[in-house]
Amino acid sequence: MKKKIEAVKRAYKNNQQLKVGTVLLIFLLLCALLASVLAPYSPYVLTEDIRVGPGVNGHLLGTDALGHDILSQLLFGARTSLRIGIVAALIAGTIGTLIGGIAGFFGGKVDKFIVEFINVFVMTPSFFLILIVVAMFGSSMKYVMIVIGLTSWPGNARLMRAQAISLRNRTFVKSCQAMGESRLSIMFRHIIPNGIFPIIANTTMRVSGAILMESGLSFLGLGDPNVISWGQMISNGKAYLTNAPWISIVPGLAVVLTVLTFFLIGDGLNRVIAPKMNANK
Amino acid sequence: MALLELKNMNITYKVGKKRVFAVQDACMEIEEQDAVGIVGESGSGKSTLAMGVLRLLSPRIADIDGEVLYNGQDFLKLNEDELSKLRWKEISVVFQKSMNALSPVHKVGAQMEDVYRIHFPKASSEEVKKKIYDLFQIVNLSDRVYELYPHELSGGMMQRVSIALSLLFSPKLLVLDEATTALDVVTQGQILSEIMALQDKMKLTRMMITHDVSVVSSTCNKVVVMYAGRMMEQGYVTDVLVHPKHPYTQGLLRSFPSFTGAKSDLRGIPGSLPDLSIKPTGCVFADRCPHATDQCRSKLPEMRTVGNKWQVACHLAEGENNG
Amino acid sequence: MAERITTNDQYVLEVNNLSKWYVQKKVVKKDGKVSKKQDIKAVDGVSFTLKKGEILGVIGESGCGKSTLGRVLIYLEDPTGGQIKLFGESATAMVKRDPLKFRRTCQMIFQNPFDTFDPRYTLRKILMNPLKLHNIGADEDERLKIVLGVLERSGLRPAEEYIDRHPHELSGGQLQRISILRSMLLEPAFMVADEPVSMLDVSIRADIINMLQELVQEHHTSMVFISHDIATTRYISDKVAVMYLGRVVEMGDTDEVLHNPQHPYTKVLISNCASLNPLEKKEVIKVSGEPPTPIDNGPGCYFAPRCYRACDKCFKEYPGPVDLGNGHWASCYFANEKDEIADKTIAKDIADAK
Repeated sequence: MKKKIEAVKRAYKNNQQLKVGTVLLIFLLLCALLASVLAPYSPYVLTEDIRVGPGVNGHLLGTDALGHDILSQLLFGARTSLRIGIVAALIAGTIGTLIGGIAGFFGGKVDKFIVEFINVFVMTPSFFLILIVVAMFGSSMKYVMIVIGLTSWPGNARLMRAQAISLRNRTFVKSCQAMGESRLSIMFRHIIPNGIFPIIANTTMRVSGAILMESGLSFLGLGDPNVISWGQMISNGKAYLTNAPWISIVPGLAVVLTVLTFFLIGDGLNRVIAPKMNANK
Repeated sequence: MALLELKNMNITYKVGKKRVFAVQDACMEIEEQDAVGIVGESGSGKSTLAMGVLRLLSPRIADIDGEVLYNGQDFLKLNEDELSKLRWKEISVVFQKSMNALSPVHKVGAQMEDVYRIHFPKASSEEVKKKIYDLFQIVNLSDRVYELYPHELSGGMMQRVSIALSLLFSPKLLVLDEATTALDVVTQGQILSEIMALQDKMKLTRMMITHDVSVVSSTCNKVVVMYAGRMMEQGYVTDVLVHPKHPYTQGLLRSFPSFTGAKSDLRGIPGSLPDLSIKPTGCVFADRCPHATDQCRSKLPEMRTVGNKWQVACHLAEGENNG
Repeated sequence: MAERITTNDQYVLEVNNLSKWYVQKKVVKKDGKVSKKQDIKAVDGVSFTLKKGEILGVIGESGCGKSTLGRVLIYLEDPTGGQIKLFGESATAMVKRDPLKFRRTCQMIFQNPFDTFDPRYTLRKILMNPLKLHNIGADEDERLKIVLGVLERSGLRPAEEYIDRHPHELSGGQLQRISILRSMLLEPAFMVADEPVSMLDVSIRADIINMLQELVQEHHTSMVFISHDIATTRYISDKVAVMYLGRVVEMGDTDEVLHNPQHPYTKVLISNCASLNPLEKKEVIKVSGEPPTPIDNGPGCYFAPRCYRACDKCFKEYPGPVDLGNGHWASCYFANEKDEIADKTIAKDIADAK
């Protein structure tokens, strides 16, 4: 255990991306968790200051057309964005790992079938799939999360499949087989834990994809109308872009920052893992 | 005069703040047309020694001191330009997987031509081709190989191409670093006999690095036994491998099962290699040696001469001390 | 060494005409033509029997199918044809009916000790899991005792200190010892050892071989010992099978085969084994080329294209086994006939042995 901590420390020391990413992530998580404490106003309350610029009357980031305090909305919106991003990426990661692991480890006809299945999913324009689902089942946050998760697993599945194929031929897997472990047990105890690192990195990067996707949906007015989200805020501000640009720009920057955070962490993880993998071979 | 002479050569790897003493006090002489085998197990420093002699170790990762005299010229003091004149033309090397050095998208012949033109930029196309075909003949390859890509060759053919490539400028000294290790017995046998034949034909001096004592015994006239970075015993194979004086050599030879005779006489050497980052006070082999005494643990044994060019680094071997 | 005791005459393992073919996919060749689907015959009709406690050495060059044979014998891969019988019962049926029992009966030791164990697991987990899986030991404490015993025996003392280490903290010799001892915990009746020492240093090989031999004798385990090293194979095995391109070309008692080889390929292999003693300089029998991929080896003897004494007949029909007495046989038309080329080169070895 000590060694692992040491390794993580060393990884951080040599990896600027990971360092910056983690600091940003902690900042974002604090914002989301402490939103109710930090926010100067309730995000739903309509103040008397309408469309005032940043800094006016104690509104640090100004207000929107209805008088909502933008800073407060931003803090509460972080909750939505992070939740959607993380849950959707986790769903995609889990499905991808399982499907890819099964395809790569079992091989043969199962593999052929799954690969074709993955290809079908890759070719489907997922955004339109989501539009259809939202149109059919309504646009609650739950559905949006699940649908984004269900449509973005193929990348993970491909990664895991490649990992499983290379692990399948390692001696220790054969040795477990010779010891009498069942195939499922080998897959869950040896193949997936040994091959999961690239998927973790990829899933982290996927969080930003999911956040963007949600923002896109909200911008089009297809997000959950009952919760505050950054996409929705941008959408609300688009009519006032010329005379009150901060309404859209501020949440836009927040999206950019969040996407960047997860991307930095994911890419940093990738770089930490890659040399180790090479050294093992 | 010796063609190549090592005097008190030390090679130390720098790993972070740690120092790994990979080769210590290496002294040896290679006469012209000698075939010297350097044997040792993994971690014995045999490959490091060869890399050090060829100056293939970057100064960033390893410190080398001592002297490496090639025809009286100190190899370690040459600058890059002088070195590149000697490499390949005077000394060339074949590694275990030297074919990895060839580009997979160009034909073997074309790549050999390119190499030839580095030193002879004005050679005509026919001249180069003829030279390469001659070399192919020496290493028992058909002319067809010229037109093949590296991936189309089998393991044995690849190693033959590597040998041909190393002979391109008719070097005096050929270093083979585990050059036949990855090959099958039959292929290895073929290549070894080809190397021996070519040694006579081209008046080569050969240095062979291997972990397989039988390869040395059948193809070399001298042998150096290394363990944990130090030379344990050296001399003519007919002395060292027949009546070994050093306990390590004895143990090593006993570890090979014999093809004839009784089956019972097989024993390994208990224990494992010492940590190379700690300089031992006594003999490096003392921990695993069945005959070790207090002297062995406290004092480093010096090389003593026990016969015709036969040297043993052991307190228990009798002979004059030339320390 | 004492003669191996064979307590009864029942065969532990009977292998009959076993084969494993792989399908090579269609490949677009240089000239633009697409090659046909072809079978690569990695193992092509191998038959042998093993009595209790007997050790069969399998030798041959890489690519001759010896490792594939090992994997098929313990059903890490399914055979394409032929039968394997364990104590007279079909192994295929046994694997289907009771896979755990089959795994307990048949074990395998792998070539690469550095990769035999999951790198993320500690020795404790690595050794406890198989015990749990096969219900050996009454409870955790008893299992722990067994595991500590294994570590002690493999030279890792004190065992308590090593039990929570990861495989990469140990040396190759230690790992291979643990691998052997772990397999022996299940007390298998039959074991495959696939080049168990080829990746280890020479000075520790001997101890591993000796330990393997002791354990196998102790438990009367039958073993197939796969190796390219003829001297090691001779040291450990009672019988030897020589394989070339998926077929056994010669088989018999160890010293019979190695000191009185009759198949030209066996002779070539032996003559190319360099001796340790520099005074024993010997000529090698020269053959051309390297073994091809085992596709379409033709109607004749597979070795004929490289053989130094091939005649027309050799290219037309595969030679059947010629019985040379004492269970020694060779698939060659010239078996038991005088061989001048080989006599010149390996006569000395044979004379030494006699």
